[in-house]
Amino acid sequence: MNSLEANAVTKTFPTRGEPLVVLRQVSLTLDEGERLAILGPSGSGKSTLLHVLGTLDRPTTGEVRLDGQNPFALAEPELARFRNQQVGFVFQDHHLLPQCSVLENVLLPTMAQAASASKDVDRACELIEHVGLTDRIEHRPAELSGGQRQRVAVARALVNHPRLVLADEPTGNLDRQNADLVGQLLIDLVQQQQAMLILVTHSRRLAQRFDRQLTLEDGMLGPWSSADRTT
Amino acid sequence: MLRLILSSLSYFRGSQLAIGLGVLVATAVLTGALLVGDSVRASLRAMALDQLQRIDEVLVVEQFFRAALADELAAQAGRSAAVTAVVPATLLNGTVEATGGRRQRRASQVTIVGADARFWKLANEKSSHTVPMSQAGVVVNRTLADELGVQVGDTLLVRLPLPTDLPADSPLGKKSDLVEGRRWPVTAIVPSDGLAAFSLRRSQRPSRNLFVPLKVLQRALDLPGRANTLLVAGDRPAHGTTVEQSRRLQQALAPRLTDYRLALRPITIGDPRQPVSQRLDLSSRRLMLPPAVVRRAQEAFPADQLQMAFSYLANTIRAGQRSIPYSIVTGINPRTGLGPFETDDGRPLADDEVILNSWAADQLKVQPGDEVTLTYYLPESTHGVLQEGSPATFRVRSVIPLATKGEPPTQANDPDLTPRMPGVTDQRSIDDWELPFTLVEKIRPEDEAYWDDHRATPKAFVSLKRARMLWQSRFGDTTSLRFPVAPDQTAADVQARLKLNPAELGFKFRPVKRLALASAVGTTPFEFLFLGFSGFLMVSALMLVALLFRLGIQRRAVQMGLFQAVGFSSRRWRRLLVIEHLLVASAGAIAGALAGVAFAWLMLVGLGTLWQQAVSTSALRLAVHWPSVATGAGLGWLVCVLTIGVSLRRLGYHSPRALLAGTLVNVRPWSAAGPRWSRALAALLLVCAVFVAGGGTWLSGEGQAGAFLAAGSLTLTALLLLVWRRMRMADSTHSQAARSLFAMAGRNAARNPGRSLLAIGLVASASFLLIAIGAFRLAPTVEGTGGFQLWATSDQAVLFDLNTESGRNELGFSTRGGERLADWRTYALRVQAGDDASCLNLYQSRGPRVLGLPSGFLARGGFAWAGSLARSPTEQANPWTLLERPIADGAIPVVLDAATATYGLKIGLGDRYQIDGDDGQPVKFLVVGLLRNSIFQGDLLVAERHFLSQFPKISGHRLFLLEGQKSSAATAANDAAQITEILERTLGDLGFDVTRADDRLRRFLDVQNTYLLTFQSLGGLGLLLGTLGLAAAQLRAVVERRGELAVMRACGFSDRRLVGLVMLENGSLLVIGLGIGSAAALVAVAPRLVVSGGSLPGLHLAGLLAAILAAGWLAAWIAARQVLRLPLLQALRAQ
Repeated sequence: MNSLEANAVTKTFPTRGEPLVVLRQVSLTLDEGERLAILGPSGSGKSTLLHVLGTLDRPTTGEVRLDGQNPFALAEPELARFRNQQVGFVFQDHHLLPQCSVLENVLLPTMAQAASASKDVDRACELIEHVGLTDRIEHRPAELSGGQRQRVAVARALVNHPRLVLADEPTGNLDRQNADLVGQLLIDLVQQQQAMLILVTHSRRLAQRFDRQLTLEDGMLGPWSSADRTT
Repeated sequence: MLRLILSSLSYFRGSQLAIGLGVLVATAVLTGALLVGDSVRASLRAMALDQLQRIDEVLVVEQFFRAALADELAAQAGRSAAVTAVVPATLLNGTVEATGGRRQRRASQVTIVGADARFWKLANEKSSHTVPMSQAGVVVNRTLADELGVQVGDTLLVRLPLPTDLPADSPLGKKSDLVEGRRWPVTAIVPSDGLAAFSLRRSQRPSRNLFVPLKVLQRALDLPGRANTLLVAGDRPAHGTTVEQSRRLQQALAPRLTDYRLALRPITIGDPRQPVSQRLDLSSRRLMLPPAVVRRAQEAFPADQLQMAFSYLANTIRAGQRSIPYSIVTGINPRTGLGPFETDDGRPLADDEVILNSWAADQLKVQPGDEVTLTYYLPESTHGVLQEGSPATFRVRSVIPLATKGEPPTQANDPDLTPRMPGVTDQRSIDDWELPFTLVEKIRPEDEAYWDDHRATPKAFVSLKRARMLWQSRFGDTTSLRFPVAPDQTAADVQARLKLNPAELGFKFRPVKRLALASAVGTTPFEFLFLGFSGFLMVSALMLVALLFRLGIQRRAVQMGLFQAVGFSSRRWRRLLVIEHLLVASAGAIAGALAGVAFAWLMLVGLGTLWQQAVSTSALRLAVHWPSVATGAGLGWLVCVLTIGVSLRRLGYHSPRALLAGTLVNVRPWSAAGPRWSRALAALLLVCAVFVAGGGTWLSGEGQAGAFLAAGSLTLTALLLLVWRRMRMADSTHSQAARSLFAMAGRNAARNPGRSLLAIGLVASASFLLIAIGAFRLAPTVEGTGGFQLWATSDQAVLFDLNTESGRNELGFSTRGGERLADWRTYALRVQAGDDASCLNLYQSRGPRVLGLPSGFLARGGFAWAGSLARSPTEQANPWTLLERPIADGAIPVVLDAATATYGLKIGLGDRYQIDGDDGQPVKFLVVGLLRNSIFQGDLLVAERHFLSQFPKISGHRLFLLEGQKSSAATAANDAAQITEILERTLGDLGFDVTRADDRLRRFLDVQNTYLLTFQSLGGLGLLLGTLGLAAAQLRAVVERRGELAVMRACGFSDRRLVGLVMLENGSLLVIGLGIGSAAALVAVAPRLVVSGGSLPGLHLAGLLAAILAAGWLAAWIAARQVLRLPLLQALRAQ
């Protein structure tokens, strides 16, 4: 069974003074198809947690396993391949390549290891259709609205059928309507392919649509109280 | 505002430093180029001053005069002309051989200086040389010693030209034994500087000098107490004499008649108490009186007080079957009191009349009214061959009595009508005459008896006019001047009245120091040359300045948006940027000016080593002229500020919103089809390139190279246009979506078309020029050598014809050697010495060498022409015939090499030019033709007859062109070595030196080729700088794109793949640029190589381009590696 396990993950950053502890003994488990929302104030370590879970950063101590495999035990090329095949990211600032079209931006992960195959192009087109941007498939990011760009970012994250999708405040820069749209799109698409989804957000409204909610404060995960569920 | 500027400078110091470095490089190049020019001129000036030391004026005369004239002049000119010393010396051009060791080594064109201790005192006080002049040997300078491979104690064989009074080309002139060989040991070898390098000809190449004590040389030449040179030191050793000082010096010079080889003697015929005839007689030891003397006499004396005579040796005087041999015939118009005869009716002699003396009339058995015929040799010979003139027939007008021994003399008893001629007039019998030709007429006892009694008394008299018609030559038309004797007309009176002008008689001072300093300005403007060579360095630097400036501005786009958002006007925040960058430019310019000194030094080192073929010297030294440094700094600053200004202006207007979003790119992609104009324009350019290249095949030389270069340039522009079009086209259909790393790299490169095209354009232009400029490399061609295989010179005149068996026998060729030489045709040229005005001489020529071309050479034709004034079909078919065209104002038509005309003398086709003649009068030329890339660089070429009219004293030939006659050109080239050995061995006494004609031409062409190499080297450096700069710019761009790179890493791109992407982006620009440039260059170079032959320095260019490619890849790799070190994660966080 696909699952994500994080055991006592700690992350510290060196500073001029005392080391900055961002994550303190964070542990969590996620099963296939499960959706988790993590909330917390700014600077609480939410993005750092996603980066560690997504293998973009190494934990100082602790362990992360995806489907039983410890990706940090892999050499860098294999780690990159692992990340390419298993993990999809959606960032708050969409980070689309401005010189590439919508199609090319969605195809980007398929070029990470080798050139994109025809099936990749079909998959990308399918996802673009799902996010409702077929008529803008050849357009550049500069010609899209913020919401449209984020929809492209969502499609990009899913093109390689990742097991785990990590979204770092994907709706943070969007208005309410687009935020709802993108958020729901993300949930639906992830659900379609039975991937695990961890989303970091400030939006209680969005968090309530998830199976589970946790808070991260002072680097420690805790439950999200029912009082916080009020909108 | 200042605090804001300074804090910005500090914060963005990295990028500002890079911009400052760009300004530094550009300024260093500008300043360095100016300093190179200054340094070359200063070095030439220093060399000239060093070689001349305190010598300001020099007088060199063909004939030898009393050395005591130096002291007389010093006394006379001491104050008025600011003269501090006058030193006599003898200067000769000779050949020196080292006779020891296994191999004989010979040096020709050696300056032999006969001098005493006074010569060395003409050195500056700072000069360190004290040269020990020993009476037992000679001193040589290091240059000569190295060439001969000699040391102190070795023996040298020095071949000295023996001076003669009579021109060798005259019938009575000696044609053999004109060189004296002396063996002297080397007593000292002195460094080739200071007076040890003394030379009258300005050249940066060191002269080869041999110094012998003056008295020793005088003894060797049998000229005791005589010299041919005066060296004058003034009181301004660093500047030379002023024009006024030169004039006073010349005025103070007062040679005696004996210095001119003239003699003014009282002649009395008969008893001095009751003379039959008395007069003052002016004659010359050179037989003919100089025309200037005759002219002066005619101006100073009325006709009745002056009688001119022209005596000549007739081979025979015939009347019927009778003849008398070897008789003096005098052309003269009788004067009362001067004689030598009186006509019975007082009527002057008609031009067809002759008066015989009684002895001649008796021998011929003729009387008045009878006819007699004179035979004689023509007064000028060529190649030592005497030619008989057409016999001249006269009618006997009368017979004048000639007194025999014991009888009172008559006016006809005047042997002094014949100038004294040592070896003839002083001989006891006709058989003892020392003549350069064999006496073929039978000498009878009566003839010897006449000689015993009357010596050279004329046997016949003709009119002066007829004598001149028959026997006048370039050497003169008068053998003596006769003046009546009177109480108020002594010899001193006559001399005073003549007022001979020394300058007209060859005694003319040359202000050598003033001329040397004037010629030190040089012919080649090195500052502009190196500015051109370093152009790409400058362009690269300026491009970097523009690129880095733009990158810096883009980085600060958000700041600029903020300025505007808080209320700064667009003008105000732009001014902030301008002031900030002005400060950077100023600092860069100052540093660059100082770096320019180092750059100049480096270039001079290059000129003295790698590129020495261009300047033929390693003695160029750095001279820092601070005005040039300041000018370079100012210009560099200005150019960079303009570049920044243009870049700032091109930013255009951006809304505050766009600036706050960090957007400065306003590129609207074209449609997939792209505007038609770009494709159409590219096609038009390519078509034009084809036409221009095709047209180039009809041209030749530089015109052809220029056409092909233009075709290549058009191709380059077309290809760049196509690349630009491709980059700007939107290209994102499904089938063309970027799906591979390579495609992504291309897409990334195209996201900023202007920047990418700038990079591609710079690399393409640079590589195009570097390769295409090779099309202008020159190689010796048959047209350049005129088809000749050998070029030869001799120190002493060759007086016989190398093309005839008799001539070769006279010159001493062996039978076998003569037979080999018979298969070759030799064209002998006359030479009037002068400056080297070719590209090998950095000094500006004041009087180039003049060559007289024989008519056979003119008829032969050949060589390639850059232009001529040919009008008629004959002239157009053979422009050499223009040298015979009469010019209305009497100017002499001249042909010269186009490079000499343009760069050496700064004249062109149809221009007039003049040099100083022997008699102080200018010789005026009209340029009628220009040769292209010929072996005649540096010389003025005239027809031989014009040469002889202007330089009559030159006898024989000293320059030779040889071509094989009876074999193919290839076979002749193979035989050249053997012919060279035969010629140099046989004619070694004359200093005969043979060079291959193509080697001579190659030396000239190597100058231009070396300049091309310099351009390619510096251009390559510029391209390298541009490549590295591009990589730096790419690195900056990578930093800006770290967000994208972070996403790609997040998507699973490995480090290696990211590095590969960045390297592909960089490398693709480089490869595309090199590819386009090379392809366009091939268009420029290949046709010329095919059509005209020649070769590219393929190895050099391949190495250069490979180095650039390697440097570019290395720089890209470094940039790519930086990617790994970037904190990409921060870039993923929302801002």
